[in-house]
Amino acid sequence: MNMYAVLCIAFCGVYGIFMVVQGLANYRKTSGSTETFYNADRGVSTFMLVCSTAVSVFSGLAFYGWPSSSYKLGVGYISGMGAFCVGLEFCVIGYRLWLLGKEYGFTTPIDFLRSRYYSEGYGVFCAVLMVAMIVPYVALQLITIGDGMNVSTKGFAPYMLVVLFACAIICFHVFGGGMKAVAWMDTFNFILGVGTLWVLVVVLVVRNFDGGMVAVFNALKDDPVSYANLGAPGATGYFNIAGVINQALTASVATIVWPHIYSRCYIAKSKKNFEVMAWGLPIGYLMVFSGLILIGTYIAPALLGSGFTQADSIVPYLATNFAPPIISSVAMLCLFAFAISTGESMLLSGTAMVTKDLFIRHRFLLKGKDVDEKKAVRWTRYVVIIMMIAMLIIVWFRPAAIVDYAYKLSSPYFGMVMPATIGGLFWKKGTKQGAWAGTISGCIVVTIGTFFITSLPLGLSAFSWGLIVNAVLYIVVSLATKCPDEIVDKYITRVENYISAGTDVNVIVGNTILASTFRPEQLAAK
Amino acid sequence: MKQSKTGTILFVIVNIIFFAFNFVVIPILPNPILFGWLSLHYLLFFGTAPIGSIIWGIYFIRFFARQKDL
Repeated sequence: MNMYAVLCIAFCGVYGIFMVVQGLANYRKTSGSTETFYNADRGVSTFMLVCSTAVSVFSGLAFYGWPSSSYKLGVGYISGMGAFCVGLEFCVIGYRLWLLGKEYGFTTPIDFLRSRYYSEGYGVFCAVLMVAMIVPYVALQLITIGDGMNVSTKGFAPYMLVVLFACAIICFHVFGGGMKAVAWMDTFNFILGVGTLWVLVVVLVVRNFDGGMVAVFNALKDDPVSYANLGAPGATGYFNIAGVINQALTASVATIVWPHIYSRCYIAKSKKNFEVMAWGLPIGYLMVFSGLILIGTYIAPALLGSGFTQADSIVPYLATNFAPPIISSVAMLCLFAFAISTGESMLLSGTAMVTKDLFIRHRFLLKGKDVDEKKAVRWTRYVVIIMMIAMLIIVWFRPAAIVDYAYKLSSPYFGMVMPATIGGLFWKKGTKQGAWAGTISGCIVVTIGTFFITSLPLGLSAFSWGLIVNAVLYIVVSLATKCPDEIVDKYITRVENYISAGTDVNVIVGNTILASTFRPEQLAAK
Repeated sequence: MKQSKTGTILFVIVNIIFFAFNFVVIPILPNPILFGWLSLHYLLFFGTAPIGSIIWGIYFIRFFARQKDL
């Protein structure tokens, strides 16, 4: 067994055991109520929420994809940070969702969308859409871990064994500790991921170049492709203004409505969380992505030139060929941290939607039957296992079509609830019919633009056009229909009153119907 | 306590300029190399993080100071 394999397996083994122990240690604490299991009792501290949100966005695909894509397309890829707008989004969108979550007991994105658009059908549609994308997306995290470990151990660790290991630790961790364990582990993963990433960057530069970053630049400046990639639009010309906007919308602006990020708007402990998110999240993103892009646009071209054929595995390749074994293992740990944090956050979000929004709501609540909280948590845990098995099947067979559609469609499909979410929070005229029309038409445009008509007008991507069509139809159809006054009052006016006057929501609201028991037919009856 | 309308309008204008600079201006700027290695585009794309952090931090610290905690 080579030293790369020994250290990688040792590091990742210790990490996995630690994770399982930490998850199961929370088993009893999280067994009593869904509020604890899904939302960590809405008590996640400021630092933990910043770390948890940031690291949940940095998936295994970020660790692999950002260096390799910026290696191929140039520094314009940074525009995928969307000018770090997520800090702003959390305060503008997330704060309102948090207020509503506190008021009506929202746990999942579907809780808000279903209630605001007074439609069980719309809630089911959005839940199915999101869960259908979550399963393959989490499977992709497992695939990146399997591939990364295989390359990092120079072929010693079998792909499927690594995937089974990763799958088991994610499953036990979420099964045992729910959001409490996930948020805690995310904080640990953020510190681990950022630390190990920068160790890798520094070692690659110091070990291979005499003269620091100036020497790195001197090694690549004579290669026209690598040099062109140091600026926008890059050697391929992709990152012109349209390319920058496409990238920003897909990789950053829409992340606020990714299900596991959406859910994080509900778990904040206090308004202080949002205050810190405004300035803390951009800095958290900067710490990670500046390192990843530095590898992709400077270090990799300087070491490998511009025509490297295994660009998709550039980070593990650099770690195993240009760094000592211990650093390669550290890089593997970084991949673990990023991929597992995203995987388990998505898994938890998916299981909450399946259990609460689909099963419990339609099997019990809408039929007037109550559900014991402990029983609900137990069912959620069963769903965790079922979903992990589904993911394992995908990872086992690794069907190219599913992997491809997950990669291309996950973010765009998640993003299709964005107009309905923003409109639902800020626009009193937004209606159920508008939400249906916008979301469905947006999904159709994204699908057609992704697979059938790849060259779209103005150089905009399928997702950008999907959002435009979605937003336009949402507005037009909403203007042609009417939103019930009760809905406007519940979800917009009260929040606006609170925000503008700083008054306690509960005082303004008085008695309200909990979202989890609110039914559209009640409204129809009125 | 009411939010200041002027402050909000100013905040919106600053944000429009901020995002327009990021999405429209940076891609068309020249890209000289600074300090012997750092491309201007790399610096500007990432430099927006601390700038955004300051703009949003200042505004929302004041904003949330006026909000009652729940």
